[in-house]
Amino acid sequence: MDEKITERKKIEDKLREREQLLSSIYNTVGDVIFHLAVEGEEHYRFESVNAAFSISTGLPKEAVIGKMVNEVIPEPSLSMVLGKYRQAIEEKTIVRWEETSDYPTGRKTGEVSVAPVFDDSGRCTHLVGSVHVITERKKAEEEVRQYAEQYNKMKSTDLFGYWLVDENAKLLDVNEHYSRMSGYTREELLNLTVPELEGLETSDETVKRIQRVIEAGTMQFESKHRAKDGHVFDVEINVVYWYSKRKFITFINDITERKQAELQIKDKTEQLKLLSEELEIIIDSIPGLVFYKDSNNRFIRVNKYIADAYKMEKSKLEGMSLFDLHEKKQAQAYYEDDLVVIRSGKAKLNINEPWETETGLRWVNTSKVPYVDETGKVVGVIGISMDVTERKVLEEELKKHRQHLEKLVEKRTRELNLSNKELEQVLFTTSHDLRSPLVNVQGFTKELDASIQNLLSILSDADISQELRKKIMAIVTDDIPESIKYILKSTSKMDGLLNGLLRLSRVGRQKLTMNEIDMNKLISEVVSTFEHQIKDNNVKLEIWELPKCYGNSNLINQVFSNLIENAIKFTNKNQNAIINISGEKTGNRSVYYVKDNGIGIDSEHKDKIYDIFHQLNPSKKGTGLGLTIVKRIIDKHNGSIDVESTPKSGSKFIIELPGT
Amino acid sequence: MKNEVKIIIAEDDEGHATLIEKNLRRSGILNETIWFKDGQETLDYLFQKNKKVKRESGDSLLLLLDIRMPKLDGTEVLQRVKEDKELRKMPVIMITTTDDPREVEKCHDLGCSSYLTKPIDYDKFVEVIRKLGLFLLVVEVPTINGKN
Repeated sequence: MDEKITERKKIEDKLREREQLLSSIYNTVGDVIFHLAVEGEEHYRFESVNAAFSISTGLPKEAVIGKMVNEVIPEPSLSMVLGKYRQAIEEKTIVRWEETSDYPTGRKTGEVSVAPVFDDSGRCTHLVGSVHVITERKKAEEEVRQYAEQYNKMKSTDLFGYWLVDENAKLLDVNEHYSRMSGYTREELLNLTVPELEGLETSDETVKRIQRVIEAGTMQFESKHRAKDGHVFDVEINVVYWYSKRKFITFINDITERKQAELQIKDKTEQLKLLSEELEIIIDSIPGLVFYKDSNNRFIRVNKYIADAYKMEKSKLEGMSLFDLHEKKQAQAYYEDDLVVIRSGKAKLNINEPWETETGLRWVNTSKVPYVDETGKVVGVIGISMDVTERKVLEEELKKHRQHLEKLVEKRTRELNLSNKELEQVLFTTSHDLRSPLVNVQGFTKELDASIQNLLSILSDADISQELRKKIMAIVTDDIPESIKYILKSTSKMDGLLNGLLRLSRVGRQKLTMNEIDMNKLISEVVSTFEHQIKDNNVKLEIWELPKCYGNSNLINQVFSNLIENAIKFTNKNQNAIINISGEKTGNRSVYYVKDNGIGIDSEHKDKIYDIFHQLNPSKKGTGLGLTIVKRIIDKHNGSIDVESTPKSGSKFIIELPGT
Repeated sequence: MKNEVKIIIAEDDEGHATLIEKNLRRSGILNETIWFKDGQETLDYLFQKNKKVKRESGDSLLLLLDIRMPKLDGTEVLQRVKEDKELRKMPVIMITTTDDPREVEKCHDLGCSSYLTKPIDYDKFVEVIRKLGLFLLVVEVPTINGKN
């Protein structure tokens, strides 16, 4: 028995000893251990906590044991904690998580693990939890580790280059990206200093900049770096001075592309600016009104010409309505045109309209075109007006002058026609009336001659002294006949002149009946009237095939009669006289040539040969009217006559007449 | 030509009239000649309005008519003569200095019997008048306002 008691005592002692051991472990472990009774869903009661629990949370055992979890653990941890408990029970597993909660001792962070305890029937009766409180140092270490990781991650970025630089501008660390940017290996870079990479600043400038960064703490600037292969690239530098380590953390951004894009934009902007300046200069130098108006008769843009005319700054005019600048009626008239253009979307050109200015009323010629915005909507009108006042005044004057001139010409023509007619009438009347006395002069001279014959027959029978007879005979047979001879010669000459004048007057008075003329026939008729003279003068006549012409055959007959007569007259001393008549068609005209190898015409006389009564050779028979009549007839046919001539070798008359 | 035919010379130029008459006589035309110095006088005589020289009805007349005359010219006289149904029977011979074809044509249209141009050349003039004389010798001249 004793033995049994001793044995039990030994076991009891052993159990007590173990219990004490467990209890002392329970209460001496640094980690928090707690024991929860599961009393139903979401009902957990603290059965025991160890000493570390009270130390960590600052809550005494008495304040916890027997309390429900929701009475001890504050929100928001509570909801998460309850969820984790349920998970552990449902999944029958140990659940671990990290948790931070506020306790009287402050914010505590710990790694929590909860294990479910089941009875024989499989019901979860208890939860045993432990919390491994993470200390500040550990946290710091963790942070360092994380920072290092972040640092390395950051360094490995592909977005920008990274340097760590000391105050002597020596590179302490670089990233891969910068190696790629510069073409240097990491090892090479770590042997370099900033000035060796700097492509813009001198080393002095770099030293100064380092100083400034130290003062300012941080700096952002643009510079250029030189790559290993020598090429220079644009960089943007962000540098932070790390006071405690006296180092510089530097981020380098390759902005070559951005720079180029910027340059291009700058270039484009510059160009655009230049272009718009140029455009403004052009528009301002247009000597007319150039404007852009909105749909309410308001100026949006005007040129200098308009500003000058209104004696206002461009900027002041822009925004003003024409209703502010002109009287309502006129402004409305301008506006109506705008509306037509805006509504139709079509230009309205050449509007002649008045324009009241500071210096008085002007006239402008305006064209308006629709102003279309980028969406295709008509939002206004673009217009250009040219001042046409001077032109209008000139036109008016010109019109007046023209009318005056027309009247004058009409009057003069009438006068001229009248005087021409009068002249012809006078010519006709005088030449006609002059013939009557001439008939008498000649007639009675002949009668005188007859009387002398009578006188002579009387004398032959008369009984008078020889001496007296001789004296009388001298008078009657010599003196009187001589006088008679000169009288008759002169009357005959005067008769010729009068005949010529009569013919000339007839050319003017005659109304022309025009026909197609067969010139071959006409010339042969003309030539036949000169048959005798041609034979007598031994003239060789050549007549070629002639084209037809259009005219009055009587008058054309006279033209060629006169020309051929002249040709015969002026070749009569030539033993080998040749007269050649030829012709050709040029376009709708017929040209004839009358050519002789006679005495020719001195060039100084060429212009005079058509003058009335002009005789080149007064010793020759003639009236001096032949070529005057020829010219007159040709003029009446709207033709022309010209002569080519060489003295002593002949003349060639060129007659141009309307063809058929 | 019958002797009773009277030759009327309408000629404003006295010299011409004298020359015509002289040469007619030389050609053997001895008929009575009456000279009027303008168209009006001539018409007055023909239409029996002349108080000094009266035309007897039933006379045979021949008119030598110049064109250019004062007051009324020859073509007007001719026209009036040819419009009168009695006087139109009378032969009218134009003797004129004008050889304008249009004047000639106009006179023929109006109904003149003959048209002579006075040449200034006296020989030719004499020739013309002689031919006229020969013509007058053979021509039949009807009576004016006569019974037959």
